Amino acid sequence: MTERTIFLDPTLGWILLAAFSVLWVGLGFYWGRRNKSFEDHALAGRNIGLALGSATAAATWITSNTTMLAPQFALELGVWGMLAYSTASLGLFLFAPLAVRIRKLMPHGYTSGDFFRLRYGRVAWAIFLVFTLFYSLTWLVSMAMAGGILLEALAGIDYVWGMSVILGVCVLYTMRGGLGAVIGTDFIQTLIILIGIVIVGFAVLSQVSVGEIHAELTAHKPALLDVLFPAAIMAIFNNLLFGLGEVFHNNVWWSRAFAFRDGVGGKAFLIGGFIWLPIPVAAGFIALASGALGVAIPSSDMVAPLVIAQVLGTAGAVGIFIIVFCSLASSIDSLLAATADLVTEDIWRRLIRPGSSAEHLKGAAQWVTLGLGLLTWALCAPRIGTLATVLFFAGPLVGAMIFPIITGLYWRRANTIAAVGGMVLGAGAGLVTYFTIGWFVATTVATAVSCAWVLGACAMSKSRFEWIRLKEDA
Amino acid sequence: MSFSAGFLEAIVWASLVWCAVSATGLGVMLVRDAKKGSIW
Amino acid sequence: MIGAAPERGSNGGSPIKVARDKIYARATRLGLVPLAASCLMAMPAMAQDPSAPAFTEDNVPVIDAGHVGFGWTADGPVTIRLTRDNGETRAVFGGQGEKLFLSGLADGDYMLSIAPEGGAVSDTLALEVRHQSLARALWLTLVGAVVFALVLAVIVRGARHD
Repeated sequence: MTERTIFLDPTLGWILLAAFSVLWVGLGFYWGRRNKSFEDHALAGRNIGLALGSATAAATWITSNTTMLAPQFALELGVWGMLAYSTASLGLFLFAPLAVRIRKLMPHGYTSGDFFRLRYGRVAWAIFLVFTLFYSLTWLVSMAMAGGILLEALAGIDYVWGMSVILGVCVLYTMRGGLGAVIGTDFIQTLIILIGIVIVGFAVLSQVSVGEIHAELTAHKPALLDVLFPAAIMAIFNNLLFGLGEVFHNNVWWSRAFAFRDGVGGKAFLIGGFIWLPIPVAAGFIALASGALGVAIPSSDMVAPLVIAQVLGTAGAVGIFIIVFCSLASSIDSLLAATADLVTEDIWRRLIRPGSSAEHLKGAAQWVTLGLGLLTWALCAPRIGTLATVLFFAGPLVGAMIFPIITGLYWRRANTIAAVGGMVLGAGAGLVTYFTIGWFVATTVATAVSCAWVLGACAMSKSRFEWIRLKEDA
Repeated sequence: MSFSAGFLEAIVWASLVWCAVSATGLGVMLVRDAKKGSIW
Repeated sequence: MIGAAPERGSNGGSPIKVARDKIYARATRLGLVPLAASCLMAMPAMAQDPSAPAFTEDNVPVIDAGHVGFGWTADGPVTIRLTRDNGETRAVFGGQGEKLFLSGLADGDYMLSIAPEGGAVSDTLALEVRHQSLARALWLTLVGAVVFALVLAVIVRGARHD
């Protein structure tokens, strides 16, 4: 990251930051007035309609990684890089039928932890909690750090201040407005991101044609157009499986499956997937244009702001600032809300205070959100660069959970030995290959090992699960 | 073997138009939900 | 979503050293290897003037994904050229700066050279691009495809019964 490359006047940066902060917090407080119980707060009354449902599925999946890393991916791995990134939309597509199934099997469920506890028992539940909290917290930390770093690079706003404001704003409106506020703001953020990407894309194409981009790549960066680019084709399924693991296990997605109105879940995730699908290409191709536009790239993670500032000047810099802020907020708020609900439901309600009232639980969820925000802040403040790379250990962990989840939802013969073994062996094998071979095989190996174990254990199983046990929580 | 200029042209334009259609579609869906009084 | 690759191998984690240390180290090495003395003659500016533009890396590990980042120290604007083993040469940077990222390089040996604007070459850096094994990549892709097909089969069959 080149901290010295500043695109916006810091005063303008602060004005934009303040304006959007007031907007999100105001909406959070406004929408939060409707929440009376934990169910209202955590699941928006289980009544989210199709438009908001589709937008929130897409928005949560659009992180600063999508808008900033897709161009970086395109610059490093070329056409395959963009296409490999697009496969992450399969996570949303395939979660559509799962959401229908989840809603049917667990009409009164709150979290993905509820599923592991009721379906596989306490040992599997504990492993799941360790894996998912590791994933969620590192995602949250990497996102907040990215926010601070990007605001500093874009507008010269000091890292700690930028990070604190983004995190603080998200904590405030999530605490006050719960999932309703998160989903409402997600809708607005999705529209802003989509419109921003379209404007930037057409602006780039008005200055350089795709033909010129292709000719420049052929002459100087031939590997980016190579159909058999080894690093890029290895990324395809590794990324795809990483994405599936992320969506299938995390409470961010399960809480939405529970929150959407009956009959909405399947369609909303499908539409969300379609909204997300073109974004890595639309946001990523501008990186491929850098050569044809004569933009020198000091480091690959700054390619998008550099190209956009070159093409659109100050207006472009304002645009990228807003897009980045929206993509960060739409993911940080969702993670805060879903992880706080997971801790409230699975740890506070199940382990510490089993007899809590609905009103009390709502209060607990708000305090947990604040605590989570403070913990994230404390981890981000020292700006330890290597912290974000820890996130990539999460690939094997989430990949190993794919088969325990899908077989547990559809097969009566799926059992505890299959699930626990699949998660532990898969994650172990994945982490070993991460260090011995490389990141590009870790998730694939984890999922393959977990798959083999789970399918084997299920084939030999004599037990048959009674689905009614998942409804126990009524 | 390389991706052709035509292929690159197709995915770039299709993705941009697709994003524009998505944004419009979301707006239309929200208005429709609002008319039915079933946003949430 | 976060499921993307961490950035790897751009600088290979080599520590950034100050130019003077580097020149000293290289001079020592050149002194030990008489054959390389001709290189020293080709870079007179470097040996004489410690403020001449110089790359911050001594050497770059083998590049296995076609992309590389590198830095340099210079007092003013510089010109950086990339020469391939087939003799093809082109300017990749001109002006003021301190680092650059190149990607999409095909297999081959390359030489980067840096010079003050309008001046003589003051430092060079060799790049060796050897992409990862295509056979291994294809095998891994096949494993990934099979696992994905199984995921798809479990979900599609299950959803049909729903």
